[in-house]
Amino acid sequence: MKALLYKDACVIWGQLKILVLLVALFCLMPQLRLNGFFLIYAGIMFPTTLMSFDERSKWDTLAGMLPYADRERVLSRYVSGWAALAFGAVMCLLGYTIQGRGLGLAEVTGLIWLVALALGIQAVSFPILFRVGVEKGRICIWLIYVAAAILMAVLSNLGFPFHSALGVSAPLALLGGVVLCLLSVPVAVRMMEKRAG
Amino acid sequence: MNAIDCRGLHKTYEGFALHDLSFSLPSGTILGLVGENGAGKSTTLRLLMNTIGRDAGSVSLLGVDNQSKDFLRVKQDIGIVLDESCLPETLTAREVGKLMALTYERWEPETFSGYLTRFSIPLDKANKDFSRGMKMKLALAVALSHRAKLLLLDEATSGLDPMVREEVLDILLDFTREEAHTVVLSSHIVSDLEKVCDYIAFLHQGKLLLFEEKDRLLEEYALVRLPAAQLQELDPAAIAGQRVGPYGAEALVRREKIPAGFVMEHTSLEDIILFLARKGGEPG
Repeated sequence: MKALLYKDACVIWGQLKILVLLVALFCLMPQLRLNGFFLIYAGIMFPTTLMSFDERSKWDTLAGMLPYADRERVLSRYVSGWAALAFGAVMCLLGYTIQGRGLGLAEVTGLIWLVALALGIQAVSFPILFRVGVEKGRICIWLIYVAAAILMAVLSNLGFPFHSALGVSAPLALLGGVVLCLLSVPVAVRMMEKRAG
Repeated sequence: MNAIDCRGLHKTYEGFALHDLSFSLPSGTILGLVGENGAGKSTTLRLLMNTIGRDAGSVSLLGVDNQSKDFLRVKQDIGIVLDESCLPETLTAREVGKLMALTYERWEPETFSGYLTRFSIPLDKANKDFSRGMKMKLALAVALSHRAKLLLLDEATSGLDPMVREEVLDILLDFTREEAHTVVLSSHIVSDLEKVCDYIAFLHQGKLLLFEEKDRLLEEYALVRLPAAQLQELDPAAIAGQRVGPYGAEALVRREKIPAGFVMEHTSLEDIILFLARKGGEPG
């Protein structure tokens, strides 16, 4: 997997430098809602963009013939997503420190929730991307999130107690995100194999 | 030992099917895989590497079933060049070298550098700025730098100028001097295949029309030119393909079935392929 991560690092350095800078800049911004959005964006967008570059250059076809296990190929995508999330989270923490807000419980809890949410989104998105490819996958993922947003709005109107639901402790949410992601890896491997026919 | 054993391989896509592909390729030989666009050459190579699922059949490369767990280890012994370079666009040749050093256990940096120099490939220029020929040369340099025992080359010589093509063919001939080394080269350029190949596999519309030793093919077939009316005097079983024009007829015939007295000309591999493709059926 070292080879695949090295390849991703080279591609990020060669094609995504500006994007890394922008994500860092926005994660450093004070408003949690805004930097939270960019944190999640980084965790999903970096691996998705790397996948789209692989598809465009047909590296994914060649990689299937090189001595990489399917699991390695899938896991390297998750690792690049986790690395992007970690980078965004560190930038957010750095932002709080620079602004002298300190690391209060609210900031840390909020950040953990955002990371957990991003992990959950990765867990749902990646198998879809491996099954249908990036081009169709982006549309599928977008449709799923729109459906989820509509469901939440409907539940909210019906008086569903979201506040108490969010009261679940942040570490538990993070654990849930990690477990979901780990469960999603073998599913994504299966999806990639299915796509190959 | 056979480098490739392929039995009853079958793959169906919407609008295309590869039918019952069976052949065995001995180690130490070069197989030329020829066929028109869409004949199934790339599909065959992908099925050999198990990157697409098959509907039926079995494949073993270097003695290992390509669906077994051990096949991952065998991939260390296989060099690949696809019809497009398929290397990440922003990577330089230097970075490709580092990537492959992390990929192949027996990567030889000196061999890779030697090929880069020989092919005049700049070290620090991004792959996306290379011409098609340069990309193919870089991919070839990779395939030849990890002590592979089997090379699978999909249209590797297309896009190269004649001088480099000649050089690449010489490299392939050198490669197969070692008995355990085998090459599968798919190409539209039949003259290239005629120069280097020991075996020819001809795919036409998803069917393997022939798999034969090249020298035997050239011995077996001949070309006769005669008036169109005289064609009927020939045993139909002797005619593998024919072309009738206003000034006479040309037929690809099996030498052994032609009666004495007919003047037969030596035929090229290209003629054989063209006649068989036009006939589109079993050569007999």
